[in-house]
Amino acid sequence: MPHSTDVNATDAASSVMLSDDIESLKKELNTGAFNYIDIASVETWKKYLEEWPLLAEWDAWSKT
Amino acid sequence: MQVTVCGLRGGVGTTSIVAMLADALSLMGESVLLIDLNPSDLLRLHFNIPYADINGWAFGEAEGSGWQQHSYQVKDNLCVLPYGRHGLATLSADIAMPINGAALWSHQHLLAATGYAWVIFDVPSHTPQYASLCESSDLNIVVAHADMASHILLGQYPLAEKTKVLVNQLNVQQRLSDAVLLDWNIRYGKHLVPLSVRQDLHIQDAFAHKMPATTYFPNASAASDMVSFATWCLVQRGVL
Repeated sequence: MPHSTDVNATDAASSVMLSDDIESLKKELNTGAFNYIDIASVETWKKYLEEWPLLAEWDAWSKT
Repeated sequence: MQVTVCGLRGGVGTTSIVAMLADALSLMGESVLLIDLNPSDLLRLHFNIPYADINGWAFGEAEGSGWQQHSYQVKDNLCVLPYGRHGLATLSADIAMPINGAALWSHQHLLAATGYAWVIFDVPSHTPQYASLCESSDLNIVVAHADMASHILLGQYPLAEKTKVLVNQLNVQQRLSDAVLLDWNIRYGKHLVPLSVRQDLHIQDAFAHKMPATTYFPNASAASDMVSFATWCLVQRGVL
């Protein structure tokens, strides 16, 4: 039945997409890509230090 | 693979994380033994074990029957070993006759004899007696909120090579959480689990139904995050 076949095809496509997602996740976890800190992030972090005194105080203490 | 999971402080959702991690791994076909080291004895309630039941490893050790008789096979590939008794209601009895869980569970041959691919401990916060157990684990997960209190406490926490910090109940709309998480990324880098578990009321709802959210609400955001975390744990073991 065509309808049934369409459902199966959709299921199969979903399964392939899920499999691809997991493969991508595995690759990213293995390469440590999530740990990449760019310059923009450091600039944002510096602004956060100006905004919250305790964050800045602890940062200064951690460098002593 | 021996994993210890403890909270940076109390109330960060460690037991829910342990329950969902074990459940997610079992759904992936892994065999898991869960051991609750908390006298509060809440972990078993995530797996539909009756509240009235007093069985558990500490109870078994106290009455002399041993821990082996006090486990619950909650799935074909998932076994739960509760602390036992009635949690905090019997804590005074613990003080009168302390159970040496650290000595019991640090025995590597004992763990190897269980035959499970994963042995996961739910470790209470601030318990120095379990420090050696955490140090000897293949993976020591510290659960934390991305907030200022955790930021200060994490700065005082000894981060050993196998210690990884998992952020739980992350509210992506809170700028301060974003600030703390960014600071941790810069400061602790390799010790930070590269994903966070989002704040999600489904976890509490699932607990009220005596199941981990990974089974009761598999499409919830936190359940999805936990499946990713379980995959990350598998990667750490090197099987993928």
